[in-house]
Amino acid sequence: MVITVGLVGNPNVGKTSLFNKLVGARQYVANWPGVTVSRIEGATSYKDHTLHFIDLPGVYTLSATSIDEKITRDFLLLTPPNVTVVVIDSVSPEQGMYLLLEVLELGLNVIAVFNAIDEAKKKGVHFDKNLLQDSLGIPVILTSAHSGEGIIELKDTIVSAFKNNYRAKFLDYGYEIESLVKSLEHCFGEEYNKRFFALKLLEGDELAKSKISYCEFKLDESTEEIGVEIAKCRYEYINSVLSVCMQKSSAPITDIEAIDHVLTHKYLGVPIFLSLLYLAFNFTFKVSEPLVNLLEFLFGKLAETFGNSTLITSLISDGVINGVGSVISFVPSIFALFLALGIMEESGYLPRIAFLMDRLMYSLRLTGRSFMTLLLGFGCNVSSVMAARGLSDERERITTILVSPFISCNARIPVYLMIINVAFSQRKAETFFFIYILSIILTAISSRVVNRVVLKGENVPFIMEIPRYRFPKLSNILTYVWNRGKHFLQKAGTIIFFVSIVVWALTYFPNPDNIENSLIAIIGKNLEFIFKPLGFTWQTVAALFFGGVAKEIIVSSFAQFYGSIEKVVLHPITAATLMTFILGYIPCFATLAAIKSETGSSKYVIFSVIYSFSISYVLALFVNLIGRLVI
Amino acid sequence: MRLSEVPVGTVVEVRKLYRSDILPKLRAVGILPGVKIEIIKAAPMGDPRIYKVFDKLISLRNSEAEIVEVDIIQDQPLPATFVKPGKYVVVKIQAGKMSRYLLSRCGIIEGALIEIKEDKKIVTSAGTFDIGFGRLSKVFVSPAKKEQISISNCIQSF
Repeated sequence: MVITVGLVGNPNVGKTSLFNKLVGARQYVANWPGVTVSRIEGATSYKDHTLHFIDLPGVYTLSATSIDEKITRDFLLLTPPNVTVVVIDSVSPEQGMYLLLEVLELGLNVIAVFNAIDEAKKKGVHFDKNLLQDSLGIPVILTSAHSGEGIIELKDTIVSAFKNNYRAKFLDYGYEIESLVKSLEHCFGEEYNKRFFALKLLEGDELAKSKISYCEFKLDESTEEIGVEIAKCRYEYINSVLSVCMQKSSAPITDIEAIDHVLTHKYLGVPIFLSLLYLAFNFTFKVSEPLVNLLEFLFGKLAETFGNSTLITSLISDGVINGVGSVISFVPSIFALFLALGIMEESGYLPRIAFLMDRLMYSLRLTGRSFMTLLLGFGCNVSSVMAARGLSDERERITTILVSPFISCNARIPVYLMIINVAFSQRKAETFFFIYILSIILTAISSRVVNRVVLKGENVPFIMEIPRYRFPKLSNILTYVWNRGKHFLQKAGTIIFFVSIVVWALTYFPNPDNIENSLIAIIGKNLEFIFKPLGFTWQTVAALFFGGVAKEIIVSSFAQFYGSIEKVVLHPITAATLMTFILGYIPCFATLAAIKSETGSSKYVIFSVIYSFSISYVLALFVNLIGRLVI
Repeated sequence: MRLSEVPVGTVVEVRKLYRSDILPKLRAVGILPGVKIEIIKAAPMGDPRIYKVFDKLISLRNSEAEIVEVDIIQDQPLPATFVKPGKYVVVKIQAGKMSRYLLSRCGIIEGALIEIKEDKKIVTSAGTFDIGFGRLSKVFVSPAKKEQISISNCIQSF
């Protein structure tokens, strides 16, 4: 027998940790129909039953305004699970219980779970479980995803709830509101949960307004008052329940609060964060570097054993192994970056950074949340495009996705290094610093442009909970890393494989020994006129063409065209122009594929290509002209 | 007074919520008439700020906190910028070491009796000072009781 179980709760309540504890590794990530919010599901068998869990996006209310809220509400409304588990934070249960009351009004089969009970006990918070069950009229379980307490009991209760079908009594809002609810209930068709919709209508909910079919209802000032009155009623009820069922002793200030004061300090917070980030990046690259080198070495050896004397062996070694291998080699770096990010997110540090950076991001029409997403782009643009799915607002998400390619990623580093070595060997560090600053400026400008041209709309609200610090758990972080990283393997792997073969064919035919006559040389020479104002030769043009697949390929193309990297010649002005151009000219194929899959529309891919190409071209031309004037 | 205008460190009680799209969410996190909210801290440039609602820390931008009308709870220490002229006792100084040192040189330390003048100048045992709005908002005071005034007068007369 399959029992579907929906997990509902406030954001940051530890719902995902509980989910991981319940289903272990047997989980998979898909998209909710029509939107790109991750739908996380998993199953586990327990006593002849299969428990199929669905981890719903964290919300505070079922009055839906954002995508996350709509998904959770629609899921509960249209495809109610057999059992709904509402996860409540034991340390501060009020807001979670508010959501519980809303879910109960849907008339679902509900179990209330007070999670993080171990933390609550440490803070001197105690619950009377039986009293809670009696007052709420539904099963209550005290659990800890951290220590595993109550997990078995929860599974038992899910099975028994499935058989018994508990339905709680509704909260009584008093004569005035109840009579209004009664008079509004007949406005909705039989297919709807009338009481839920009548209450939502009084709360001014848009969905409820759109579902009215049998009567006229005018919203005025007084209904707004009623909305507040309903919410007050719920909180009064919650407080009365908690005053009986919860004992609380005031906890002293802990070390963690003192640390938090420094970490979110008005002046010190940002510098501390930047140094922590630098350390984290440095650490992850140091850790992943030997693995990256090893992989590159292995792929090189593998290609060598195949040789490239015949058409087939050349296809396998030059095309598939070199092409796909050069991308696969970066997997350790990407996984290591997600590991660092996973630790920051699990510990509760990330929301605090979002809080610190919000003012700055706000002036770019983004929020603090997108800041962390964009930072990931310094590792790989694909990861920042994919991480953008964590942003709840659609406009903010699209903006973040579209400006991500201007963050100077890892793959561009070898290209800059090659150019700097050739043309600016005296001023290496300064040139490097300059190109990164330019990258940040370009990202900031693009965010304004995207918001002015492509997406117009209201500013995104920034109501965010600052969670408690938690000690990150390894199993949770590993799940986090794998869920995010495997996407890179799947999506980037398929497209890189395909393009690598195309690129290989263009260099191989018609004459494998003479590159001047190859198809790519013909393409390069035909496109040369576009780049004449920038002073690029056909080799550069062809390398840029290759580089559209993945930026690293520019280096290997240069090496092939000139025989080896040492023989590359570039005038400083051309070099500066080239670096500026490479910074943004077009997002690599993997990034474009990620943009396509994350936005679900080719429109944004086309915009991204055209916009980034033109802005880089103009900027490069500007650099070229200044350079010629100065020298 | 709007929630966005209340200084950090004070406790307020919500009186009213103005019409807005984010109203359902504010209601759900517990920002409702009658609920007490403490202003915990501000991000660089004073926006956004963290508020304590029940036991949760909630970050709101000032543009969002603006729709919440609040009353300052009177029987609590208030920033010196928020009180009427008169005699007060310094209850806490919410500032770093540097500011504490500078304030202590003006005779403003925890437990000290001070007088706040009409023009926001401060009279302490060390003299009369104009310490500026920023520093003044970090000094939390309670109205001085009768006996405290007389005792301090005694000390001064010695």
